[in-house]
Parts: sequence; structure tokens; C-alpha cells
Amino acid sequence: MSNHGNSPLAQRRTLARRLIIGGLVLLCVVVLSFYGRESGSGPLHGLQGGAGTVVTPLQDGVSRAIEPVRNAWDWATSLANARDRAAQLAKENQQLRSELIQGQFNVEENQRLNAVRGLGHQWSTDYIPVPADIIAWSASPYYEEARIDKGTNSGVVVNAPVVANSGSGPGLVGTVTQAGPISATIAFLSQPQTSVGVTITQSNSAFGILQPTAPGAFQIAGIPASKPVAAGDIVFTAGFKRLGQLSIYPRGIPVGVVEGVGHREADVQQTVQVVPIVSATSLAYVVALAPKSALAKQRATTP
Amino acid sequence: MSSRPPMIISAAGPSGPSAGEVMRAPRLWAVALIVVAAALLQVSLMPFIQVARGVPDVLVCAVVAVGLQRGSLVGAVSGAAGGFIVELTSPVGTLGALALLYLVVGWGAGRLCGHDEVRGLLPPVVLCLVAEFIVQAGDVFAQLLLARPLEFGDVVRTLLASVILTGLVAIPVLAVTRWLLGAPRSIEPFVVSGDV
Repeated sequence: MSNHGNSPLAQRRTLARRLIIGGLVLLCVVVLSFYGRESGSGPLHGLQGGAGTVVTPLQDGVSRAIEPVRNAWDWATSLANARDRAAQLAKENQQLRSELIQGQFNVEENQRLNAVRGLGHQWSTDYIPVPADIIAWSASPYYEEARIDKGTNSGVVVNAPVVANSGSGPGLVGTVTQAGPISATIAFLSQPQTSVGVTITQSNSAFGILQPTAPGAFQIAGIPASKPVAAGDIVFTAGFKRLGQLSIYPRGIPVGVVEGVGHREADVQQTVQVVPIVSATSLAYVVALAPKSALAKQRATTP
Repeated sequence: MSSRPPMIISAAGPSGPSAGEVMRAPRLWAVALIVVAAALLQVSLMPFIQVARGVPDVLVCAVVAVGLQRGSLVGAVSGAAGGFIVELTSPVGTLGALALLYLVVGWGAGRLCGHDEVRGLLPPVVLCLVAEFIVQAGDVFAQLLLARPLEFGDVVRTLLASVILTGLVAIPVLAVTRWLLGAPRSIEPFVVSGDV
């Protein structure tokens, strides 16, 4: 046995095996490194998008096949929730409050549009709503992306905003990061790269940049202390970023609700904690906003 | 007539077949079938079976089973291939990270190929749980390297849920793999005794 293991042939075989495994490890590391450095339109991302398109019919089929089970689960869950009367009433109260605030925002928006006629558009007139099913979730629980069953054939493009309806009304969910002919990948707001210009109309249209801090939690920085923000205020997309840059998100999409505000007497700015209106973890359907107007198309090409 | 030399078995276990024994059909087609099927299941069906943010990992069970049945080289290659398939077809945000983790798992399981200790049902299931822990922990590490926001409690809950759910799917996956591949035997063309 030992002679066999020490023979030149055996040594060559051992070396070959180690080369194969070592080569695979090296390949993984190199691919991981290049993937992390290239942009979303790079060749490796393109390869990923192409492979995703190939398995889309399978994922679509599985999604439809298990839909009755999911519906039964949702029904059972809603039945259990219905027993909790207080929670139900609180939910209805929140929904009515959200609708009221949305109405207030619309009134303010109309007044603003009347005052500066021709300078802005409501986002709903610039986009074609494309309802889509979520057909695949990320296999990694730490990476909050999903695939929808609509793609460029339906007008969905990269950077198209994605909204969804929750129990408390519609809200911004994320954006399209990759778009194939029949499917697209959406990234939720909880991605660390998220940076959304937002406004709080209830605090004299305070403006800030919303960024994720932890799963299900966001923070707005840069709001001056002269524009006091209160818990419960609704946060909307502002339609622009700092320095007058266009945002990929149109103005007026509800994003979240202010949960807390932190600032001291000496601070000139305040830090605002926000919880999202729509929880991305429980979605089955979303609406992608396909750009229709020139402005919307320009937003979609904003870097 | 054929000039192809016979493959050599090298099972490290004391009761495994001895070196120099001529192999039967290696059934590499079955290995490929198992890995591809497990990877496709992992990206299509499994994400919908989400409990407490945990997802059962069919692929890790398949890679462990293949490694235990066919040795470290086949286990490593199967793991890398399965990982790449998952990363290419599912929006996981990385390319190469999962492949590397599954490669390590397949290689590690393959080191135990032919050992008496893993011939029963319980040890391979435990091995699947350990492998899933490694994959999840590695995934968390990769996400941290990519500066993704993670919450400790959330990570622990996800990790525990994933490990438990993987334990539930391990038995059928191991059974199917054993049925398709037959008895444990190292079919690696480059294996020699006491290697790697």
C-alpha cells in the first residue's frame, strides 16, 4: 500500500487532484472578486441575468403550482389575525390615517403644481403600472432581491421603481436592477446601496436622504432641526437627490412612517428613524412602474 | 483492446474496498443529475418554504451525500457546480461565494467516503446539519464583506431555522442519492491511499 502511495504515478495523481481542487477554489475566488468589482451591466452580471431567464419558466411553474398552498396559508393566517379585534382595529386605523395623509399630500401637491404649473408632473402620469408576480426569491436569506415575471417585453426597464400594496396602503418597495425579456430582478430598499431622496410634507417639506440601517429599518440624515419631524409622519419620495439631481424615483410615492427622531439642543440636523410602509418579506405581487414620459425615461437612466 | 486503465478505489475506512480493486460503473451521470436537480429545486421551490426566514438547503444535502458516496474530488466538483448554478439562476447577489462554500462542504464530506462511521443514517444527517451551518456562516461572512446590513438576532434566527429545515429534508435527499449512486466508493481517477 505504501509503495503504491509513494510511486511516481501515485504522486502525479495526487498532484493532479490537488491542482483540480485548487483550480476550482481559485476560480471561485477570481469570479467572486471580479463580480464584486464590475458594474451591474458587466459580463458576469449579464451571464447571471441570462441564466436567470433560462430558469424563469421553471420558477414561474413552481410559483403557480404552490399558489393554492400559499393561498390556504394566507387564509389561515388572516383567520387567526381576525380573532384579534384590537389589532384589526389598529390596522384599519392605520390604513385610514395613511389614506388621509395621502390625501393631504395630494392636495398639497395639487396646490404646488398649480403654483408652478408645467414644472412638474405627478408620477402616475409618467409611468405605466405593470402588475407582476414575484416568482422567485433570493436563495440567500441575507440578500433581499426577488425575480418578477415581467420584463422588457412589458416595458419594465432597469431602474424602474417598484411599488406594492400593504395593509396600510401603497408604498415603495425597491427598484429593478436587471431586466430580461420575460423577467426582471428587483432589489428591495433594504439593500445597502439604497439612497433615496425623500421628503416629509408634514414637517414643512423637509428633505433628506433615506438609507437602510438594519433589516426593516431606515434612517434619514440631513434634515435641519428647523424643520421638526414627529413620530408618525409619512415619508414620501422627493423626486430628486442632492444638488438638484433627478432621482430614479418620482415624487410622491409613500416610503415609510417616522418611528423616532433623535436630536439634541445643540444639533443643527436631526436623525430620523423610519419603518417601511411595505414589508418586502411578505410580498407576492408588486407593480413595476414602466417609464412612459420622457422625464420618466430620463429618471430611469439616472446613474 | 481498450487501453484505458482500470480505476482505482481508495476507501479510507477499515472495511472499505482495498486499493487496486476494479471499479464498476461510476454513474457520474447520476451525480450530475442529483446536483442539477437539487440546485434547481433550491432556486425554485425551496425559497417558498421559508420559516422564520430560514430556507431548507437541498443542495447542501445533495453535495454531502455525493461526497460521502463518491469521494472528495467528485464532492468538491459537485459542490462548486451546484453553487455556481444557484448563484447564476437565483438573485443572491454574489457569484463564486456559494460555489466556494459548497465546494468546501463537498470536499469535506468526500474525505469521509467509505468510513464506517458514516454508513448509517444519523451521521450523514448530522453532517448535513454541520455543512448547512458552515454554508450559512460563510454566507453571513460574505454578506458582511459586501457591507450588507445584518442584525445579530436576525442572523442567529435565520441560521438556526435553516439548519433545522435542512435536517428535515436531509433524510429523503440522502435516501434518493444512495439509491441512485449505490454503495459508497471513491471513483476519483486520481485517488491514492492516504491522499489529501
